[in-house]
Amino acid sequence: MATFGATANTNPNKSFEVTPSPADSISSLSFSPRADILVATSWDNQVRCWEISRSGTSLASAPKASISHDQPVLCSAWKDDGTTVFSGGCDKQAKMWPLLSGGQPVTVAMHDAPIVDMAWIPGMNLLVTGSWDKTLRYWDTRQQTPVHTQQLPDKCYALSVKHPLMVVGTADRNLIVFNLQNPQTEFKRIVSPLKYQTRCVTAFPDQQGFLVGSIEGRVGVHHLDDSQQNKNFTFKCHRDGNEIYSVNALNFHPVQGTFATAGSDGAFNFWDKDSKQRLKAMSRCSQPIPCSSFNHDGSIYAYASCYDWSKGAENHNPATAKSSIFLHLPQESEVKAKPRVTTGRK
Amino acid sequence: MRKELCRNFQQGSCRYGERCRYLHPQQTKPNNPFGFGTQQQQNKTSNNPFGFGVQGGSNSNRPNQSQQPFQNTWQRNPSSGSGASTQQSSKQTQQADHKCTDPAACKRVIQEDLKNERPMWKLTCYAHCKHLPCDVSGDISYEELRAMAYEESKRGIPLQSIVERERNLQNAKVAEFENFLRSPYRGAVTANQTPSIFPPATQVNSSPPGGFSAFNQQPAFPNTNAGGGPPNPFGRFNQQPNAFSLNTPQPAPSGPSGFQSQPSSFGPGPAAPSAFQPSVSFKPASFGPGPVAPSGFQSQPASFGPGPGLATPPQNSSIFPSVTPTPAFNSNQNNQTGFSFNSPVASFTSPAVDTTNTPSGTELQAGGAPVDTSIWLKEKWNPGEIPEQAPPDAFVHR
Repeated sequence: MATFGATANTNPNKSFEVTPSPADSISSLSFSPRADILVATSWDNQVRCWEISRSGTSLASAPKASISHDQPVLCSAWKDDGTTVFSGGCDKQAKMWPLLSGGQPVTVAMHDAPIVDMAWIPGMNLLVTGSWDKTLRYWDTRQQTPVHTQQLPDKCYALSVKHPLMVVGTADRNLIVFNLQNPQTEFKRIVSPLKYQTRCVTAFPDQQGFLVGSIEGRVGVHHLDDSQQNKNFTFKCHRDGNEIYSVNALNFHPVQGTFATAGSDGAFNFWDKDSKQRLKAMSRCSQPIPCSSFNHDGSIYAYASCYDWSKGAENHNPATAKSSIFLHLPQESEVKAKPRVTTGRK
Repeated sequence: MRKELCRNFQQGSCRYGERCRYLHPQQTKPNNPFGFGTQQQQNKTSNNPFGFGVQGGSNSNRPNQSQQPFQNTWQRNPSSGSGASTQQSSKQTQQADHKCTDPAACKRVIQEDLKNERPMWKLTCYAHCKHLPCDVSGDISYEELRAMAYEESKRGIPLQSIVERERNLQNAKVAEFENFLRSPYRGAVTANQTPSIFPPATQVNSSPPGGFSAFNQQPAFPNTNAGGGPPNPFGRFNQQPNAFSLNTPQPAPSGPSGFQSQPSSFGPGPAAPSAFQPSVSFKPASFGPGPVAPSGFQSQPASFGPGPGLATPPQNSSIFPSVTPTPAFNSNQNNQTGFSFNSPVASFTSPAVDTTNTPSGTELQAGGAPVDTSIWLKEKWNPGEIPEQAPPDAFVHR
């Protein structure tokens, strides 16, 4: 890997790099909800797991284990007790990996097309998977057939669960909201407030609404309740002059209620939706950031820096491509909610 | 006028408009570069003759917006009483009820969007108005394209063909956008799109195509529970005896608890101090899935099996066999996109672009609007001859 002394470019934020780095791009990052264990899924078919340790401001990572799929792995999710990891991808299967106990992975879900996102539903002990086959399927991991299959209007692109709220973003800008207490009925279906392809969604921690990010460098903040519609807004981000990059990941800080966006421009930013401010803009890495995640208490923000295919096969050069996972320690000023700036009123 | 900035205006909700006592700056303000609080997307000023909530985006440098000489067909909600929030929601309702009764305005929006706000990724759907269904549909995501490429590579298709296929896809989509831009009156080009969103002026479409409105609480969908077989009430799993132990019995525990070595099928058994037990050498060389030893999980049968689809890669490297890194890849990080095409296919008519994974919505068809008047016949309009009025009924619905 040629590091032309260009660390300033590849890692301008001086984040800690998790090693060994995967051989191909990283498709998802998930921290355990209980401990600082990071799982990364990759286009090299692997699901890898590291234990992250922190002392003060220094970090260390220790690779622990990995499993593989037959084809690129696209998504991952942890069970809420922090013992088990689920992963799924182009092989159209999802595997359950009880890694804390050192068990073998088993296949627990199947779709007719690649699985692009998944989540564990703690209240119901089910895994929900979304796929390009235009369905959501709910799985009791002990059963071979899904507990329920939900038709979607189009291919699933992203989903987010904050029990009992679930938001699903599909192709052609559909956003479907489910109340998981009644999962067979769409609670609400809206068309995205953004004009272009949906890239990511995440539900508010207080379940009042969700964020949606698109390829047009824009994020929409949408509230579910009609009475709160006036609080909806969109904002632009991840743009560089006339270049408009996509927003690839949205993550709420688990404690502060602020959130981070990460984009194909290689930057990640922290925002406060209530005061409508950007809290911090981090420096741009030389490669896009396709995915990111906070750990369970928000003290670590992991992000990947690797090619996301935003410029097609042409710009993929496996010989020189480097996929990195970086860890950033957010400072309080970066993620703490700020009060609204007040000006005189009439 | 007081010199302070109007707070409501910043949030897009000042109801005084030009009469306001506070400052309404019309261009980008440094403290609102993200266009926060803009209920409307940037190019909405044509629908917003009072200049409410003019977006702080960088696109507001058009010649002054508010006095367009077109008929303002918007229903202005007589703003009574409750101030900002009412105004906000009424504006928003207007937005959602954007009936496209003024095609000129819509067309302007589209032109601005496609000129100023073109995202880098081209294989996307598009709508000119938020919360309305797509004008151009047929989304393809990064991952879909990548999965296609990896799959083809596994089958031995050379990189050049892959790049070319992707480029064709892109050209097709760009052409679709161009067609749409030139003749939005014909409605979306995509076949699956329900009839045009630009109804003739005489008729007001009360609901956006697609049959549901953006704010509909309980959309009347056909039954979405299309799960295989008999409906599965959610409670069922509780009552089901847990007979199904998925999969082969676990082999003897592979080691002490905790993160010990991986199951043996994976490679060297005992816990070597090396990094990841099984799959070790992270050779960056191979493009594809990396050095995956024929995974033991293959054989885990069962019920799930390896699933349909490609057979496992028999060998672990050379996924992209004929990749010669240097010539094929001009890593053009510098200039604009590898997907640069300049004059897209003006003569592009109607290939049916079939992409795997996107069975619906990506097929292109040339706008085959019926032709009566010669102006509507034209594939390409020169500036100045673009008709301002809506096309006659005959052309509008496909």
